[in-house]
Amino acid sequence: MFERFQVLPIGDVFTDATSRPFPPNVASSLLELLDSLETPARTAIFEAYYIDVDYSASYYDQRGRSFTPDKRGTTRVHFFSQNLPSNALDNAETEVVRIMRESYLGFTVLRPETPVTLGRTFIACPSEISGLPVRFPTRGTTKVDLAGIPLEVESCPFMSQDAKIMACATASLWMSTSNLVDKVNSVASHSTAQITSLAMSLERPFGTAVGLRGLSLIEMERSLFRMGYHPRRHAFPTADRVIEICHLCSDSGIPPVLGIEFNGGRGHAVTVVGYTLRKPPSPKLPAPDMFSAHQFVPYLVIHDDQRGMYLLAEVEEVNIDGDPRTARLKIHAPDGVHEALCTGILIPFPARVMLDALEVLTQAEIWIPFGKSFGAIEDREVVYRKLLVRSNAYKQTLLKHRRSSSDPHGYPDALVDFARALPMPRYIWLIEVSYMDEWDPADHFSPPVVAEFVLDSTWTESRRPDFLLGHFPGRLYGNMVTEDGVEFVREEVSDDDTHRPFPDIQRP
Amino acid sequence: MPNKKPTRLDLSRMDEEVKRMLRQTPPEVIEKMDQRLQELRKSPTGATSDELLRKRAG
Repeated sequence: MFERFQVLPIGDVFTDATSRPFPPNVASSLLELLDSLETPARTAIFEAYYIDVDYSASYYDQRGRSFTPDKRGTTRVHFFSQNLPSNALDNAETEVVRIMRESYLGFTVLRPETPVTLGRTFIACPSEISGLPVRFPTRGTTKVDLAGIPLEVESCPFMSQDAKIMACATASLWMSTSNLVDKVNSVASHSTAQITSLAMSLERPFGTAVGLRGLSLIEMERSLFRMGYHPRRHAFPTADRVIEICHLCSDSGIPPVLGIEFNGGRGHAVTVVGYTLRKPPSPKLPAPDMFSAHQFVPYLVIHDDQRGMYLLAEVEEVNIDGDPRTARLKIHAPDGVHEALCTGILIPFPARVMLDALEVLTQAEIWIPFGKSFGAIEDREVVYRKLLVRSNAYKQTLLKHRRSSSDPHGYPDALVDFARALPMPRYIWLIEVSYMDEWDPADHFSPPVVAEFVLDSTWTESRRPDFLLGHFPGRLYGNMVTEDGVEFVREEVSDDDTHRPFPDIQRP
Repeated sequence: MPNKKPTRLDLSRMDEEVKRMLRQTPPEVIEKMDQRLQELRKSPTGATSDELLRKRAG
């Protein structure tokens, strides 16, 4: 009954050259990833004649219209970190099902092409890459059904282009937005065929030309608008700006797309899904005593549909005479380091997020020295980070982690109640301020927070210091927005102390 | 090293100053923010977004 499924030890996967996914780098990065996970893959289950939602959409737009029939079914390969018996599915006993669920590492879809390419791929995020701990706030949970057995995996989605209906630009947009569907209200899931047609204003993306020509930045932006996002573009960013924007987007759970160019001007697009963090001995200083958390990011982690998944990428400043491109990406792929210059960043912000990340930065640069000048924030080195958060999630998190004897690092009562009472738009910018010397390198992703500011993301141009909520040690200030205007509110906080940072949660 | 705690007088001065900043921001603060934004948005080589939009990723 279960001939459609084949259980294989991981060593027997893709041993046949014709079944090995293309391009070679992608196959290598997949196998390296499966081997480097905290619990490496041991078993694969091949699921033949799997009708994949994304491949189907492409099929009906192109190959399904061919007079000569073409294959419609794909092969889905599931990976597990435990050894499974060859008849694991025949005898889906409680114990086997438990092992499968606990050891599930995700799946990849092999498109029925020659050579085979990778379709939708959801593989668990690694906890470290090349010995460096990595963080993936953009990850999401994908639920999977394997012959009636419910499985799930936390991952950052990946796929390769097919160079027919889609190019790297479409693949990178799909990788960027795929996990956002469950996090952002009012956006639907889009197949790569839909993404391409929305980009090019075509009813159907016929022909191979689409895959070969690629998409311009404005076409990618158009596609995001039509998918329901409010994209923001940054042209020719500096290296520091690339890291800063990618860091804050990642912390906001939003994977940005980077436009890059290789030697000879060949354009490409990759998706940033996470970053590594460390406490270096001498970071660059924007101010003598104030650091931005992005200054401690040595590598971004990217998905490159041509070079592989979960790849480290360094960003460095370059100065090429008269060239507007001043940020160079060094992508660490299985076959070596690839260098490319960054042309732009495209961010799929949720609708109505209008306050630019750079304006958020200027707010931090005003309010932190302000707090210091009154002694509310102590005269010590501080580090701040900024992230976009759903206001409901912010209030729920505060309430859930209210300070108590069992949670001494929880949010102080006064802050919890003050924030909950304030009306807020759907999305808010959150700036969290911490003391550098309280940043424990052993737990370096989460310094305790001493002050914070909540900004209205729907502001188009702030141009003046403004927040919905400002929390300095000992004081809470707020802008209570009503139909009649804005009322200034203030509250004292007794026994104020540092509290936990906003958790790395999968946001609604 | 931690500084001395702010006095009640410090905090009450801060209360007034926050209120003033949120309502009638001093022009020099607005000017400083504008300058900083321009600096952040400006490409070091003066390149514009129009040039970017023509580029394709394939």
